[in-house]
Amino acid sequence: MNHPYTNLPADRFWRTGVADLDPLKIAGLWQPKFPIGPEAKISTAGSCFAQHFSRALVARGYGWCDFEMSPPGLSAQLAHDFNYGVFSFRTGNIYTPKMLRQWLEWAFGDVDVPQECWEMEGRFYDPFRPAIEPRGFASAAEVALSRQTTLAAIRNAVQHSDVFVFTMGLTESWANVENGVEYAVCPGTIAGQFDAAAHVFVNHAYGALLDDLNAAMAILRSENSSLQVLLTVSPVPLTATASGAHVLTATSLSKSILRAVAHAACEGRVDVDYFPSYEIITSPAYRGRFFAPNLRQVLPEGVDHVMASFFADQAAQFGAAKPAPTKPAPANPAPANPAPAKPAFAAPPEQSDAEAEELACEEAILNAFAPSHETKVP
Amino acid sequence: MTAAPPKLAIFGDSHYACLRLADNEGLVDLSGMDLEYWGHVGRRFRFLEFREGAIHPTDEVTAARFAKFNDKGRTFLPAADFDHVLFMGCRIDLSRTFIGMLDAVMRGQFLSTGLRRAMLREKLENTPNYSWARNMAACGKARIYLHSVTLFAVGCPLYDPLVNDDLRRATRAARAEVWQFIADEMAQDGVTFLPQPDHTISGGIYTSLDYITHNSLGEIDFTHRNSAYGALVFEQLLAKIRA
Repeated sequence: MNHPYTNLPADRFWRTGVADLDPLKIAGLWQPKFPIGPEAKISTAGSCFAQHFSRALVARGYGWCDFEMSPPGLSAQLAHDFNYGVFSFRTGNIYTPKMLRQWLEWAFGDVDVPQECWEMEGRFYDPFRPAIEPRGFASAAEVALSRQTTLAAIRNAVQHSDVFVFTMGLTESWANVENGVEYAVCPGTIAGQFDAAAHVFVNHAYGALLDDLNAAMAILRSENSSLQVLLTVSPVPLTATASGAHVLTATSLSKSILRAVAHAACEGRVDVDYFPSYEIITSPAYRGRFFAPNLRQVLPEGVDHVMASFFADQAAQFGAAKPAPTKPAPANPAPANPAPAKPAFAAPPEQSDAEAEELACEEAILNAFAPSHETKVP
Repeated sequence: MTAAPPKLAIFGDSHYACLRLADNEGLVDLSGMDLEYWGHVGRRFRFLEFREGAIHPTDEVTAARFAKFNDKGRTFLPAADFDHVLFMGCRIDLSRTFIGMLDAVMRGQFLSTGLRRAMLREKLENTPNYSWARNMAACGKARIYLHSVTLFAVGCPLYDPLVNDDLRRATRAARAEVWQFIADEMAQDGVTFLPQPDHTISGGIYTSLDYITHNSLGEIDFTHRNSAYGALVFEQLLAKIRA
């Protein structure tokens, strides 16, 4: 007797699609809607897991774009400390769709940027990216100026990218009671002072999350009609919850809702897709193998497997990508109208130790201190 | 009874040659100054160390080489023997940091004070020779000045990978802003920074061809400076000393 399951392929059944397989051989989890090749200009934003995405893209020679590049001469360590090169702009982590919407509204002028600034021990912190500078800023004016640079970078990223990857991380957040503006973290944790009268806990519900995500994507679309959006959900569990529930169930609730929101946002749209990095890391099929002993941090092999799946599924759907260039693609592939973005800037050479240089140096000294000049020698 | 003239040491790698040339050619009035030069080529700086308030060679060959170019045959340079010490070049090359900050200024990219400070401090911390200047200043007696390695001369291909239109258009005001930041930071270490005189800069980030030297083959030496440049450094230095 035939029924709808009779002729389904093996990957539609848990036993043949999952349980009987070496988990690392599970394939076809994603049927991408659009190709993302090495030539695509890709911007990334979102929660901390998104930074793995950008690193993997760069490592494979894909065109990940950094629209707020570190100044020339900054070491890799300092660039990291000051949060350059983590995402395509220096927003720090954007955990919720509401935060993404806020940044986009500020960047494109729909909403005035709040003037709020947190002061602590003579240093000033941006409430919307309090860890962006290791020891905060020297003044409130610096906070505002730096934020303007980041907003300009966001504008460039949106207007000059082909693909915008957004990784959702949390449903829980903290907001300003008066104006509803959402903070990156709870005031008082990294910086600022918590005030129960001024700060309110928000655990976004499905509808609100979807509304914010759709609003954010509407801005993206209005600024760049050809921009394609790739959504992911961070597999990293909550560090802590203020919901009153156990952190394990709070994590489950948060991630489940975000996963559902991602699905809804993609439904019926050819320009919005969801990549299942969340499932690849968290599914019982993988038996937690990709988590560090703290069961929270994702191990490098987990990231590698996620990205291998990404490229494999792209290849399965659209054919193998053209070979990546031997050198990584430029961090900023010269957008058409790069306001604050900049061309690649190689480190200037400094004085070398070459033999030729020593000869030139000796020549300079000998010329200056030649016997005819040594009138002062006693 | 007249006061003893101020004792000035010019300590440097080959970049200090331009000062000696200016001195030789009488381009600067050094009267009333008890002046000594103590230096040698940059590679010999690997064999120097700072201890007990002085810069010491770590081997006899290096000691002999430095002594050879010092009127008094000094084999080491104690801060306490001088009222003023100028570090000239001394393999302290801040061009990368300077140009990086200048690039941001010219493009209107805001760099926080904390970031600029971190950039400069990282560079200085990774430049051991700078610590000699800081340590000498900490000794308390001599006033310490520093003129870092000059920008490469116009046409130097080594800048090709980094120069851009913004940098080519770099203004005096933009350069002054960056130099001042560097000077302010070094002042916290007790070191008086002498920036490259602005009118010696051409094309935004290059040293003008008016201040270059040529090697024995008549080719442009993009690195070393002539007596006219040395005179300008002396002017800066003496103005500070006599202020």
